[in-house]
Amino acid sequence: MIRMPVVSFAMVIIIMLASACSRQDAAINYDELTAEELEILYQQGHRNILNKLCDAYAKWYLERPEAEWWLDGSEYKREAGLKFVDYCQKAYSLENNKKAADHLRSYYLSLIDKQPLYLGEFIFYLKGSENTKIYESFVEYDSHFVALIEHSVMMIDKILSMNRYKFSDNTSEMIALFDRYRKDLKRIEPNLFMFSAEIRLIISMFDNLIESLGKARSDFEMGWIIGEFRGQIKTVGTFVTNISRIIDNPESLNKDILVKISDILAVFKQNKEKYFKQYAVSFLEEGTMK
Amino acid sequence: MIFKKESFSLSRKRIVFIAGILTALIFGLFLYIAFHLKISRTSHYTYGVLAKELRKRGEMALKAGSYTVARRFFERAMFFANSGKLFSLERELRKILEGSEELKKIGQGMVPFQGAWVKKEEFLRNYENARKTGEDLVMLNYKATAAIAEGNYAEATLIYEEIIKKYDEASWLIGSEFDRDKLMFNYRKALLLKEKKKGDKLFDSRAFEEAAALYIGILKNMQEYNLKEIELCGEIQSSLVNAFIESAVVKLTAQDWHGSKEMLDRAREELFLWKCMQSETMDKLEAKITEVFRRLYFSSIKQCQNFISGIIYSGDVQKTCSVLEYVINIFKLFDNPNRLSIQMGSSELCAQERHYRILEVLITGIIEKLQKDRSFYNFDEIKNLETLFQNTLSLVRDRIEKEQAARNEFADKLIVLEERAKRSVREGKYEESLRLYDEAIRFIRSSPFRGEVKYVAKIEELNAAQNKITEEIKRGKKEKILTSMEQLLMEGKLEEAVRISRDLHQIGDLTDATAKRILWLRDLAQNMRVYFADEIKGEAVPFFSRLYRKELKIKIEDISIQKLSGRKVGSQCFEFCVLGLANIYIETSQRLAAYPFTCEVNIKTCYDLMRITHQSLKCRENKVKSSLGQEPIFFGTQE
Repeated sequence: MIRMPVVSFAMVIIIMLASACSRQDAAINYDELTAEELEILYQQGHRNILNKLCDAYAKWYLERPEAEWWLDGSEYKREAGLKFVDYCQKAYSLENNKKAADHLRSYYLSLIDKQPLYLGEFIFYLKGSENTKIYESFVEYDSHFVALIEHSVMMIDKILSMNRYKFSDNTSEMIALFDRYRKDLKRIEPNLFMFSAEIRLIISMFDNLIESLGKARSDFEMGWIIGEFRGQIKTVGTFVTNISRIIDNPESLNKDILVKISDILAVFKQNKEKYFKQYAVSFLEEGTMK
Repeated sequence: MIFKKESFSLSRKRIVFIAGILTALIFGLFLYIAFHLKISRTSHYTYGVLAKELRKRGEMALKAGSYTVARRFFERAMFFANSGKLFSLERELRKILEGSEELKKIGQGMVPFQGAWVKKEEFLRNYENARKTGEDLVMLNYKATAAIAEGNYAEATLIYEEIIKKYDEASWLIGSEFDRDKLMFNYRKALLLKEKKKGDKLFDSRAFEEAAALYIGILKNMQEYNLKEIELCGEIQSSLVNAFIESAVVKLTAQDWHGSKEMLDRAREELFLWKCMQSETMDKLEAKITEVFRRLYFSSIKQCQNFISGIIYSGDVQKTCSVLEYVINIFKLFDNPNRLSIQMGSSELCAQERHYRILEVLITGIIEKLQKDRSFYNFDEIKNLETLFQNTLSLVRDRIEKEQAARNEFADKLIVLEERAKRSVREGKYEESLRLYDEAIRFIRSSPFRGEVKYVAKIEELNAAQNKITEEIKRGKKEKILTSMEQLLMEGKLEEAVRISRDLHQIGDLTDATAKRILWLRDLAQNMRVYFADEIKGEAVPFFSRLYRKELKIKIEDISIQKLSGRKVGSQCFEFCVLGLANIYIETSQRLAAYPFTCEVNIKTCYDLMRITHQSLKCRENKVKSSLGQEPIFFGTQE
């Protein structure tokens, strides 16, 4: 009998505390707060919201319409970007947050175009995000695309240098080769990740090349068409070439990161070489050029 | 009862139990109230922190003029102030929002855009258009770059024009993505490349000077627009210098030495002017210029040598002087400190009229210059040229010696011929002198000295002497005709005198005094019958008018001169006595009569007076038989 009041008392205390705690949660809903507001709280000592803060800043920075940023001013976007990277790097390093790594992957991907050396950071966070789909696209299809572009540029240079005045003797072989490139490009297009913008343009360039060669009436005209195509593909493929060059010679990348991504680089390079070799079996290299 | 007793009486244990429950409840209630108060105070605090921090950030944004950011912060701050029941803070925030025109406008859905306030929807539309333009520019940039890579500079130029137009329309958004200066740079570069291509085409079609003019224009434009494309500049400068070099080669082949030198000078000038070629390229081009200059030097001087060789045996001083001038002009091309010594005195040299002497001085001057040029230009082959001219000089000097001997002999023979001709003139042997003069002229013309001014003048002198003799011969002939005519006239041989006068036309020149006198005598001979008739008529009219005492008309016809004699009076005048027959026809109103007369007329005529002077006249009618009618009629001047 004496135990009963003690038990009741304990139960009341537990109920009260549970009720008080639940009230606290209901009072501040972090999901309704903006990145800046979460940051204020984080700075006030709410350390448990780091992941939310990273996520909010990533969305704020990566998904907010550019027009809105323009109205705010570029300095706000730059500041948001720095904070996004800072918080997400913390979230990844302290809490191994894969989502934070994924955000950073997206961020560095957007920078590679202008600063190809961020390829290291991109691959590092791609690895960290454990995004299997993108990883496979990158090492499998993007490597194939790079191999195809490099091979096609090499072949066009060879054609132009070796056979300038006798294109018409090899028209069908040339068209077959270019058509092979085009078919492969169309096949890999849906799965391509890094070069998805370039591939569309390059497919249309191959379409034009094949059509123009079919209509060409003289060696001179063919030479002019192929020469024009060479200029175009070299220009459009500059980004591809830059990336490929870094993968082949990654010494210029961040040393700390390079150690951690060398396995992916090796796979990419291996795949690229594999695809390049597949194309190497061609009429020109077999010595059948008339 | 027992039951009641039992129901209303509480055991001690129960009382303790109920008291315990009550105590626990009261304590629990206190605890609950305490927790609730603490929790409420925590969320209130958090809202307050958020509201205050956001307000602070809003104020900073407002101060920086970022109204959209400020409005966003203030609105969120108000939300948290309201949630935290911080009513005074909420009021303050509301006051800030309502106190700023800009914040109010943002609240009304307006945004600041290019110095004005526009509806946000309108801004978003503009933004989207500008963004698309930015995307277009990326593609257009690709296209332009590809066009340049393919060498389609005209197309690239058009694309860049489009790019710049689009850029200017959307520069407020894409200004940071694209650098207008860079775009303009690319545009100008494309323009220059287009021009360069045009220049290259002209170069390929061997229109080197036109190509060079284009290249210079491009380089000037590059300088004007400060296009620091050192590689392109170097390429164009190299093409420019090459164009001038090639043009020099073309002119060299056409033996236009001055044109070729001018082109080489231009090439050298352009080589050092633009300063954008690599030293290696410059060295190559300079070597090329030197090589063409070397060819020009030797070709032009060899041509001088050819010309000199061509005239060595001509003896024509005019030609030699022309060659001299030509050589001087050629050497002016290489007018280095080693000037050709004869440049200044060429006219004096030519005045010497000595063909070989001119050549000797000329060749000596050339050799001297070649010797100096050998070290100046460092061309080894100059030695060969020097040898060639030395050989020519030896030949010329040999000719000078031989020519001197020939000249002496020639001069002696000419003097002899001239003396003989003069002697013949003095002896009146005009034909002989003419032949000798002819021989002397032919002698000069067949000699090697014929081109010398002295002998050209001698030929003219001999010709003049010949002309003088010819004139003398003609004058003698005319005198002879004149004398013969005077004689024949005085003898009455009129027809013969007229015939002789015709020889005058064969001699020619009817303007001198002798010819005029001959012509005067010819007229006299031809008109003697007329003068005779006029003299008769002059006396017959008054005579028959008196005889018939009526108005009458007289005609003198059927004139025949029976005898004519004359004599010369002084040097200018002649007196003639004419005896002849004439029929005088007289017509009056009543009758017509004819009288045959024999008349003797004396007349005088003078060359200086040019008229006939009447002297005397006697006329006697001719009767077949005097017994058949009246006595014959006489009339005439009284003696």
